[in-house]
Amino acid sequence: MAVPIGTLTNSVVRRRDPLSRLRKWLHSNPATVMLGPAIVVLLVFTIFPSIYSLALSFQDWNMQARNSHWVFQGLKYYQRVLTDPRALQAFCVTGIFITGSVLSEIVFGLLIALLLDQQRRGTGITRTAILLPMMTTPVVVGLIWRLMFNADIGWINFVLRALHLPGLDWLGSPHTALLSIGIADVWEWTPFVAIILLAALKAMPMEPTEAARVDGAGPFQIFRLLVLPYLRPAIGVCVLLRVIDSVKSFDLFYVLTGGGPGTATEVIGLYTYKQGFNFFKLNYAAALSYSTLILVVIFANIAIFSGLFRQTR
Amino acid sequence: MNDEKRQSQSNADNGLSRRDLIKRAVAAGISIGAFGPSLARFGIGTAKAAEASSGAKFGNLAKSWSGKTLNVSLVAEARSDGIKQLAHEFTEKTGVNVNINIYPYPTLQERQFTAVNQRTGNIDIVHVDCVWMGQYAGQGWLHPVTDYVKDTDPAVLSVDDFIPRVMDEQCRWDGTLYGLPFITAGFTLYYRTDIFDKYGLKPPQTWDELLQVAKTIHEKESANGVAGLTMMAKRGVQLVCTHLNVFGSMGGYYYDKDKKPTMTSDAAIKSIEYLRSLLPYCNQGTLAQDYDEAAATFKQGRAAMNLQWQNAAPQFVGENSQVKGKVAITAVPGVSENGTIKRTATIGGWDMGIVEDSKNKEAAWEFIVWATTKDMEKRLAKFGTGARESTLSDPQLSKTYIEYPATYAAFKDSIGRPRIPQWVEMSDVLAAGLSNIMTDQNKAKDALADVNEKFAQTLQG
Repeated sequence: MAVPIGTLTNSVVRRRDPLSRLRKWLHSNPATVMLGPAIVVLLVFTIFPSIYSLALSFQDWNMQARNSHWVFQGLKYYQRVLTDPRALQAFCVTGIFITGSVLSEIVFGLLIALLLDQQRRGTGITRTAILLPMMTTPVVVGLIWRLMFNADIGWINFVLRALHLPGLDWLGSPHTALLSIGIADVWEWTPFVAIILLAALKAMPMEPTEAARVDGAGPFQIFRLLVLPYLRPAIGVCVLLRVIDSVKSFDLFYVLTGGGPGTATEVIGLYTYKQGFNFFKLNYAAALSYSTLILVVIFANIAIFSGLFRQTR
Repeated sequence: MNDEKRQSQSNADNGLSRRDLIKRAVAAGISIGAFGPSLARFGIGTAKAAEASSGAKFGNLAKSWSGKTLNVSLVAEARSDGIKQLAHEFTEKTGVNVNINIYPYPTLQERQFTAVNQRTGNIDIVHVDCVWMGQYAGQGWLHPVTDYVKDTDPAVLSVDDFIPRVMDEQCRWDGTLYGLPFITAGFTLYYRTDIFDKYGLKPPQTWDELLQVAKTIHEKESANGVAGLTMMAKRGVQLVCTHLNVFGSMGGYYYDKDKKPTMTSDAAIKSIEYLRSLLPYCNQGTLAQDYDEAAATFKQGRAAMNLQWQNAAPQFVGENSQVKGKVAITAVPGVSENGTIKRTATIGGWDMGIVEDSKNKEAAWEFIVWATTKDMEKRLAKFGTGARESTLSDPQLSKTYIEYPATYAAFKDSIGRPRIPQWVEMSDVLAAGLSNIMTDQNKAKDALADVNEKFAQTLQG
């Protein structure tokens, strides 16, 4: 029996008032109901901590003392960020790491995407296999690579020695430590780039390519003049996302080298963690975090507004 | 109807009807419940009389705190597992429920810090690393146990049986006692008896001898995949601990009694350069080795000596060790001075302390006493060394557990790291500096001068 909802609720209102008022409210505010829980979670776990830590970065608070409270300090901790040689070095190391790893990830990711684009059969299996590194828990990735990089019994040196090449002290030598972590990072995140670029490739219109082929263009020319310009926005997205993620890198560094040897692999994420959770200098750690955020925002703005990744044609 | 009436009447004549019985039982129950505490006072009174005869409130597993629950947090090491397995005995005897939560080191630090800092009283007994004592005890997070010690049965507690050096390092701060030691550790030197016999070598007594022996063995055996020595040289706490063995024996320390840093002293420079000089005779991966990797290197027979904590011994003599039966353990080398050898083995360890905000402080103390009695130390012997003179020098235990004599020696000639709250940060700076020197990124003088300056800043501010 199709009865309009309005008349039904009217007749029931008199009997059970509060419950059907609630039901009526739920029906007429679907957006609030659906989004409500998500917004609460966002507020509690993201908005509130962000504002709290921003406030912290302007205060002095000795967490360890039992009766301590906040004392306003203004920009004291931000000044410290600019003058702390270790923080500045951490930013440098992070910068070097990001440049190397994101560049490698884009190059390898593009290669893999181009290859996968050509595949006709068994695409499901290859795509799942390709995604496995990304799906593994980062700490597990770190631990396995630590075993592989072990200079005495690690798999990598085993292969090198079998080829009569010298085994390197991957994690113990300052020359190879950052490179080793970079290798592990590239292994873990290239699939991310590959998948995004593959999706873009699949969506590429075929007509210009076919026309070019008819006109006698070779594969490299097609790639350079048609595919690459088309992919620029997608590559831009990958670069942006990977840079933002790499700035926060922590797990690989913590597990593989702990910031060593010396301070060769001490990135800003690791240094901030140490200040906040080992030395309990939460104020300084908050200032470091926001300084990192400022740098990332600057970079993101430059990347987007420079037009480097705007689609041509 | 009439039948029932007759039934109840005849019951009343004969004695209690079922209803009456239930009524009286309920009444009795309520009255005991109401007057229970006053009756219990008599009960405790009689227990106290019994205790008064032995004179002690604590130590005899009395039921005074029956019904309470203790939340204990312990670090993830073998001995914690051991006591967790035996905790039910404590509950059976005293009626106190014990929840033991075992966490790995970083998690433990965060959890305990949150609980004591927020004054929740969630945790009753905390496990305090000796280097945290300045923070925990100095900030008033721990309850001093001096009064409890006075009220504990001395035969059970035998507080003088604990090695004084260990007590000072792990449980005392500013002269006050804050708990009892549970888990102790000291640096020792492990070596391969088969390789030493093969080349007619004796365990090295001084650092120079260690270098010579490592060189000899490395030259002869590295082709067979056996390095002279292995140690923990990865940037981190273990490198600092390893360095202290040498540093201390050469007469150095991190700062003097006026809290002025002394990292530019001769001892500092010599000690780290000494460690660096050992590297050619160590396995290739030494600079990336933390505790587990160094132990694995020695356990798999890839090094002839290992400068390592005593608690790795069970691994080396255990079932799946490739050097089983070929391992001996001795005190760390030292510096020869006027005919004697000055050794300073780095020691570390943990205190079982009572949280100031705990609502079950007395029950907690009873547990701590129970967990560290002479008898309990014997039972926990297979989980590692205790802190009592009697257990560490016990001939039977020394035969069964090879690390006992060496650990006893380590505790006698030992040195501890600073326990001030600023040490965590200083330790990190030092680890970075030492690692810099070990990997040739900086000269010893320069890196140590840098460390010295940072120490000065931290100690002041």
